[in-house]
Amino acid sequence: MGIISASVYSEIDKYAIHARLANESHYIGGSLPSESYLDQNKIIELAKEINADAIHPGYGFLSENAVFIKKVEESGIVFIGPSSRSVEMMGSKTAARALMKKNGVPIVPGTTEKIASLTSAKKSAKEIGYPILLKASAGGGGKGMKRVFAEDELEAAFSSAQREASKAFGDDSVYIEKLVENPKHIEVQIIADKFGNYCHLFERECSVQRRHQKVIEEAPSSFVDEETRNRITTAAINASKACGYYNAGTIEFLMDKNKNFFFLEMNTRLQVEHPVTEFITGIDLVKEQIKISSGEQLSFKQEDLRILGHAIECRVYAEDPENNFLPVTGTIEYHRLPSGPNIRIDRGVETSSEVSRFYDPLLSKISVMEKKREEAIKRMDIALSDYLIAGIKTNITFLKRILRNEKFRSGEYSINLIEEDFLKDGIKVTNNLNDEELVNVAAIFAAYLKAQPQNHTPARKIFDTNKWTELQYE
Amino acid sequence: MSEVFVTVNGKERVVSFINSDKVIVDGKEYSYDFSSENEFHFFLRLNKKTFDITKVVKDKNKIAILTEGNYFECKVRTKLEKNAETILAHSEKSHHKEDVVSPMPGMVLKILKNENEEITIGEPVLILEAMKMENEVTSPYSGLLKKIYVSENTPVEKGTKLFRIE
Repeated sequence: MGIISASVYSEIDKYAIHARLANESHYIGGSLPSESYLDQNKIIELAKEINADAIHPGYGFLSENAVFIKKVEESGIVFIGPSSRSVEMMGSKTAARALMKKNGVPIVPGTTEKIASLTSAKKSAKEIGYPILLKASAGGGGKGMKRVFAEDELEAAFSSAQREASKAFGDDSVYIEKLVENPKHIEVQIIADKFGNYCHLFERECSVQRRHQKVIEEAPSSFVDEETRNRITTAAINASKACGYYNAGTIEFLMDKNKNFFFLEMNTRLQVEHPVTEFITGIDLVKEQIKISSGEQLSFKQEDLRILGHAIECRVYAEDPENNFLPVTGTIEYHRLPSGPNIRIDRGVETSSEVSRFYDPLLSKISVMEKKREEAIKRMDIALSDYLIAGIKTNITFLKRILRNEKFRSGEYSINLIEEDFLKDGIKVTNNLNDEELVNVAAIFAAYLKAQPQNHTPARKIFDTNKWTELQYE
Repeated sequence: MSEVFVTVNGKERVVSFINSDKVIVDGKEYSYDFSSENEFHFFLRLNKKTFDITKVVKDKNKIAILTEGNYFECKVRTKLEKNAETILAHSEKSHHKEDVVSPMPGMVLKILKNENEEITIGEPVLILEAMKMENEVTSPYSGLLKKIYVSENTPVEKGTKLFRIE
């Protein structure tokens, strides 16, 4: 686009990929998010100092923070995203629910206001009927969210939800929703310009989740038929019109087995899983975001869009599936990415990257697209097999196990897939894909390595010398 | 060359290297060859197929690897080591005592049990907050919660002793 880019970095990110890719990068503070990436004033001051025209917030940290967006707007710098007003309207889960109800977008039965006390929580829960879900009003990403199946579990869940909400969002407001049993998570990508043109870019299915954190996403959903697609995308556009939205956004829904859907929340930003939508529509969402912010109209119309194939994204995390999925920290000693047709990688790491405890343990995202879903699953399996990471443990094998799960393959899976099919027996290495041949490979390799003297240099190093240079002198 | 015993994700294999290009695993013979790009990326050629292998972690007793998207934890023992271990395991079985350590840096948020309480395997003992999420730390054994080493609202490092089950 011919735009000069500047990025900000914290102490530990001096040589991170985002700092090196930009035309210029600027230090903004310590490794703790509060000292750098969450410091609103520092970021805006820097933007003014370097005469930035606009700020793109990415999809973490301040990307959905209405206060920050308002400050950016007041500073005269363009915010690449929606207006602070839209974000504010959708930011409080309870207010958003009320707004959706008013605009005919179906919502999950529950309270539209925060719960003041345990007593009123008990009362509301009884009215709505167990099982229920406690949710943080300011929430997202599963933080401050607790399932409650009976009244005797309510007290502990209520205080835990409040604690998590307060820590994650600085606001301990919690509300109650009826728990929709075995739903699918279906969301619709929308995009709008400042001239009132609204388009949807079809749906994504993100039902493969663990503790409300998405693990695998796909587009389109194999469960959604043409008629349901029409209904849900229309609801999504109505939802975004209700808050006067422009730029890219996502409306999340829960869908039950009868294809009824309920508004969950709106993500007023670009999402982590946007690559699958870019794959199936051929639209570069970030480019479109920038154009919209600079006052251009959408470069396409709804009727120009069609679903070009089936895309899947896997999130590769630095975590230990066998140890309750706890995040892992350390140095990436070796990193080899998969490659090949229809494979896309979005990443923040490479060989020698430090995975610190300061930030989210998401390392990279692998996305693939093929004409048919089964082929996309196969392509993803190949991509995961090609991915090599040394030095830290990841969820790669766990991702492969999900791809081979019968429910996942049939498309008949709900947001409880991981819990039901994987967590019940506990994740153990003995449940891994223990192909007999590969077990032999591992055994030979381990035995060979053990037999080597400590700190050995490998028996034969290849690519040592360049034979072509020698030839030149012959 | 003598036999070594390798446990791979809980499965046992007996490996013996016959010479510099023959190896036998559980009676199955392969021709093999080794090479590497660096100390973390290796190539193991078995018969006609070459496998790319990375070393995820390696410590004194254990080596974890990733190959073709499969994670394997391997433990290698010589015959002598294996015998010694069997004897040791027998003598220890009568009194199982173990300290449970923190799997990662975080903050002890809440302690759910009291000292001298009977605990069954898998029961949550305390809540550890890490990366802004609350994680339950469960007991790996059934037994008596002999000692709790930490208190609420204190930060812990990876490896800090949390509690002891006897």
